[in-house]
Amino acid sequence: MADYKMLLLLIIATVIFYFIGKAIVTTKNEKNSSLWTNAGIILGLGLLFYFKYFSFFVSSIMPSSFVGLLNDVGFKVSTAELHIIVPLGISFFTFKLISYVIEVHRRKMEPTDNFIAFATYIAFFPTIMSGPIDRPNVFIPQLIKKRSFDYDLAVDGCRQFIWGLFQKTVIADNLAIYTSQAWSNIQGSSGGTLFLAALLYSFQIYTDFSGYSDMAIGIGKVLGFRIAVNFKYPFFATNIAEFWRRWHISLTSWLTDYVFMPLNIKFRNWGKAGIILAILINMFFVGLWHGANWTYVVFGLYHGLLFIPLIWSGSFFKKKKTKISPYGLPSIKETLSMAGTFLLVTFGLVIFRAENLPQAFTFIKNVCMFSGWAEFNFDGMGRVIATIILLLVFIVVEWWGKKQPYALAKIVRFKRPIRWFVYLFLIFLIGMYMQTTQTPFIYFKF
Amino acid sequence: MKQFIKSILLFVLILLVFYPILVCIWGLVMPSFLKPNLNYYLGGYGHMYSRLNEAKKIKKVDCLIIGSSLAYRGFDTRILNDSGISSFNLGSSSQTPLQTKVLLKKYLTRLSPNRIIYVVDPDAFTSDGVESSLDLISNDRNDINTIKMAIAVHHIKVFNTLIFACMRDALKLNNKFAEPVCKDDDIYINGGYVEKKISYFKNVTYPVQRWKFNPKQLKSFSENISIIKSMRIPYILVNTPVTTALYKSYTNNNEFDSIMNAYGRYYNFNGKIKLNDSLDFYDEVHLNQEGVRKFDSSLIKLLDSVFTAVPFFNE
Repeated sequence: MADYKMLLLLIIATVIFYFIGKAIVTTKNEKNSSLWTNAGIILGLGLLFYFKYFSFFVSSIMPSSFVGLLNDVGFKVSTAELHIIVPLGISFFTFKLISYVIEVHRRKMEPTDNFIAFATYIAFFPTIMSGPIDRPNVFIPQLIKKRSFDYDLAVDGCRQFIWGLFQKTVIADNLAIYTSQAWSNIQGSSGGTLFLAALLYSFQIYTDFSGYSDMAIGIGKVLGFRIAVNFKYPFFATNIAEFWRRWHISLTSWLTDYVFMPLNIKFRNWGKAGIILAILINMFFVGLWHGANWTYVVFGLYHGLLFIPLIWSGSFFKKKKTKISPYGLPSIKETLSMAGTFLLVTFGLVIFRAENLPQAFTFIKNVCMFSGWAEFNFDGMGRVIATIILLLVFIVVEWWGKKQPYALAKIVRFKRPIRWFVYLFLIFLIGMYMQTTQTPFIYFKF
Repeated sequence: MKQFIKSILLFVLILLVFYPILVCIWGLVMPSFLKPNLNYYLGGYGHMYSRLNEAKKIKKVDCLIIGSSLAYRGFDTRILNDSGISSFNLGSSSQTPLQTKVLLKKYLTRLSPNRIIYVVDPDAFTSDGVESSLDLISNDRNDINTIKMAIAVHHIKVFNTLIFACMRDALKLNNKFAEPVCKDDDIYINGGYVEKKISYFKNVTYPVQRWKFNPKQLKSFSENISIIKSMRIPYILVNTPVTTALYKSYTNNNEFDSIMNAYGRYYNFNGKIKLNDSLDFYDEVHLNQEGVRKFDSSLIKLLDSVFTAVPFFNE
């Protein structure tokens, strides 16, 4: 929630972590350094736990008898009385704070003396709401060093911004109408409608978040900063491991470095079982990071389970390169792998999108009934078709530019008149197809 | 940096030329489902095209009626004429004060009415004004007033439709257009009234609700009153009857009444005349012809007493 009072929390947390960073290196011995680091981690996680998960913990996990006992002795912990306001972007800035103390402790960077640079890193306006979660050892040096205006970078930023805006306003927001229609009437929608809505939701959440990331990165570039990449064409992944290497990269790499890798080292003597356990715990946190709801926990664990066949078969560690035919298309085998991975991800996103597990179950059950599969009951089918046409164009452009940091970047190989025509046409499409009802970014709530 | 700013300025300049051209081509070539943000409805719902065409031919009226569909579906010019009141109805679908302002600026001098009935529909004061802007832009020649209105409404659909409409105006593409007098259940009556084939409303229940007035509309309304006052034309504000169930579902009708009372002689007909929610309405807000007859009879009695009262400008 956006509340000016929460600004105080952000300022206090920034000041405390700034000094913790200094304390980690100025302390005399390694033990004290670890103590300061752990204090930082606990404080960061504590903030996250209190604001984001405490209500959930009290209502869903803590035994009711214990809640009653706490209330009896004067601690008001019933969810009705908690009214905890979740600060906007808390999942993102706490991860930046924690990342800072860990990187300083690991001596990957020196704690910065420049408080303004540190505070800017934590609260950098394009990324504070929904990331990407930049690493301090990469971003803070950019803030400290003297910058000069980089024309090419600024132009690239504008290009990426337009591409992000197109994804969000034209694709994501239009898809949102139909996915919302189906989700608000699960019982009354045919199997075909629900199945199509599930597929469309996958594209909606991708273009919503990837669009936001591209806009944030684009603004960063115009200002002279290089922000972490967040997506690398995840729907072209041929297995789940590859998908997670391409989806919300700044979060998954954060958790890989600070959760998975330490666990993997801890369980190294257990062989493949150790890796599976580390993955399951890691994916549990990936799910839980999204919010205090069992749907997110199950979403994370579901993805963790999808890793098991890959780990047993050994393909988890292999980074495959997509084989392209002379016509620029993937082979049949790879197309099927992509489609299969996409369907598995879509299934997970049904759980993710649901308000609770029974709703997810009802949705899946109604799809699996196979009743009315040829029947689509969306309001305004003409608009659905228009949106799907735009989505297909978007997918083609993504495939065309898949080796670039973002698809539209490939256009630089063309001459200026062609490039400008494409930008103008994209702006026209935004004007002609943008959804005019307000649709907030999905990841703002995380 | 200089080079970047130069490029941006050049790009914006080209965009300002390119975008309207593409909107016009798209608007002419594409089917309606492929142009969701271009809603050009020439001769659309409510006979606005016929009404404005007629308004352009009239030189003088006794009584001008302005407002939303409650105006052009509630004030039967035939009934008023029979009572010796020559009237013209300049109502339009979902008309909000933003559109009323455009219509007043364009037609008030031409029609030079002796008196004005300004239909104040609380719903119009809550609206963003998009729907009615599209209606007005599509059915009238556009000028600086419509451009100002589009800027005030500030909506991409309005901008796109205005660009397309201006092109059609410039190329005179609407010159041969003739709107049918009868469309579905509606018949256009000379003087701007639209008669609906008789039908009856099936009662429904409503949740408790509140009006949330749009400050932009309140500001425009205030400006409209100033325009009318500046021309020293006597006016009254009329809140036409809607179904009792709907009216009573709003908890802050008094708030609306007090706002309107501050602007002049205001008459709220809700609860003042005996109407049946089912027999006298065809939907929750519109009177059917039977209801119109009852309402207009009451109104004529009021007009006789109100407009003869001296002094009129007591506000």
